[in-house]
Amino acid sequence: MTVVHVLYGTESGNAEMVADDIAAAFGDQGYETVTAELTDVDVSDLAAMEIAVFVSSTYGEGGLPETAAPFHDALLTERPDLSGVRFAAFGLGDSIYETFNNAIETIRAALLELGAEQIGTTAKHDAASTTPATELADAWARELLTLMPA
Amino acid sequence: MRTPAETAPNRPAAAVDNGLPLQVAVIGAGPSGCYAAQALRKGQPDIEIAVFDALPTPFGLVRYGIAPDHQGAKAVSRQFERLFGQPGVEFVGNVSVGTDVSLEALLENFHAVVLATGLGTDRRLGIDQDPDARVIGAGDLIRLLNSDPDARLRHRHGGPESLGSEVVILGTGNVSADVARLLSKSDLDFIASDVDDDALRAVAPNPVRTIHILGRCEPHAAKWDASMVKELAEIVGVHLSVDGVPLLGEPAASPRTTVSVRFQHVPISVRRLDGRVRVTTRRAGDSALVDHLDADTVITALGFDPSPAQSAQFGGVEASNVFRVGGPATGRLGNLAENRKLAADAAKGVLEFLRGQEPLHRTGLVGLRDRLPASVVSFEAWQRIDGAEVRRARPDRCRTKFTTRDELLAAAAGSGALVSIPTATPEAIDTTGEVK
Repeated sequence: MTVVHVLYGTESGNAEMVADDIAAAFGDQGYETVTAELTDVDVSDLAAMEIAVFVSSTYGEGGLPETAAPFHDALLTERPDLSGVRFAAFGLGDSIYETFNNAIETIRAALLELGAEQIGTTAKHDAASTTPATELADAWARELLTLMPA
Repeated sequence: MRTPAETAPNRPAAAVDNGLPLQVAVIGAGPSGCYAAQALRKGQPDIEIAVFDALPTPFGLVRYGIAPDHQGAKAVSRQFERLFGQPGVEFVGNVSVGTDVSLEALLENFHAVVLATGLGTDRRLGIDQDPDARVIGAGDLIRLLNSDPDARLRHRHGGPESLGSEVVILGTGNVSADVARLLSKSDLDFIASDVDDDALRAVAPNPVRTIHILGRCEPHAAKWDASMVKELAEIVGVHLSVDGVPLLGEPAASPRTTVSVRFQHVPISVRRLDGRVRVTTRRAGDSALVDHLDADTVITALGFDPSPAQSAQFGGVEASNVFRVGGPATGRLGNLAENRKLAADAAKGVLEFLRGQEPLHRTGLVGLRDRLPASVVSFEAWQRIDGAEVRRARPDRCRTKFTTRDELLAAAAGSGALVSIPTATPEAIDTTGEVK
């Protein structure tokens, strides 16, 4: 069975909560899941992942969370060949700021550049909306599950 | 990279007390206390935690300190709701440790106690200041606009009063930007917030016309986030300049509110003058350059200190099983991200300590039950308050909070008889404006 890696970058913990939800949704469908903060992920391990779900919030002037920035830097420095890696992307942000959800775009662009293939649509949660992030995460993960290899 | 086995949630627990779980009390259900509890549970999933708060409501400054028009930032409370939804994590609200139940009683019943009591008081100016000049703390103002039942400005004699049309804010941190934003917004700008409309109308019947923000430092050393200043400058009707230079170009029409930020102005005195306030500053690096600025109210946004009650209660407490997180640990209130990280580090220290201890018999909250006041608010009771506040919200507000402890407790009990609830009596208020 495919192992789903749910990899998150967070500062206030909301992205971690969403990562837990996504892992739970996949776990309920019988997938083995690994949840890890991006600080604990070695970019050289990425190439071996079949499915990686990236979850990231956005900070400051559209920047990556402190825990995701070193991972992004390493991606661009080490440039692993990610062809064969399928990934999905879930962003969290707050639309009172212009650069709302910029960080997940930054991560996504790097992954695509290195040959990874995105599955599903990029989710962009808006903290200023009335929909809780966990609700969007559940719905989005269910949709993603329909795109998974049987 | 951790393997699935390493990240599996059920690592064997430390064999404390013959397999009985470790018991930890957290004093303070604000963000630091909740983050610490969350990290303790992640590190040791069977640990049992009771989170005490003197207020009937959880989440501390997430509820009462983050500005009411920043609901996105308040969404971290959803993490904490999940925390309290877990078996083994209890909210013990409306219980003041040191008054309703002693710290000693907690130490008898729990393996460790985490002090997460925040910093309850606006830092004072510490300069030559007229005692009757109108100077208020930014934290006090934000608590008022967030419906904190204990907000000092609510309990001043005669209730909250208008700040006037011209205010000076001392300090250039995010709290200063919060205050300037809240005072310059129009009613329409508060859509979907949970601002206390009655309190806002009392302190600012109209948006404040002129706001001076004074910082001692140079512009690049200001502590606020650039995005906060930009957000302020982008409010329709606000014109913001920094040291005389407009931030977003000249305004098209006459602005509703003018915000002028001036750096390198060091306050040296605050005097009362013809019913207004005169702030005298000198230029940093040149004590001969002195400026005067007259306004209706001075608002200090200079950081926070422990309240006298906090210092008396917990200041000198030193024991190997007492830990501190957030304000009591660092002496400052940082942002959520910073405090989450610090709480996670502290939780690691707590777990290391507990795992290194000889087994002791501790019953946790169960052993304390008959010593708690009858008016204790559980998490379930808080959810009744939460639901009632959302249901009674004005159409263009996300919630309308209860503003007194009596109302909160009635809602916690599920009582519909809110109309007859008496408000705080003058006897309950001492001369310093604090509720006894």
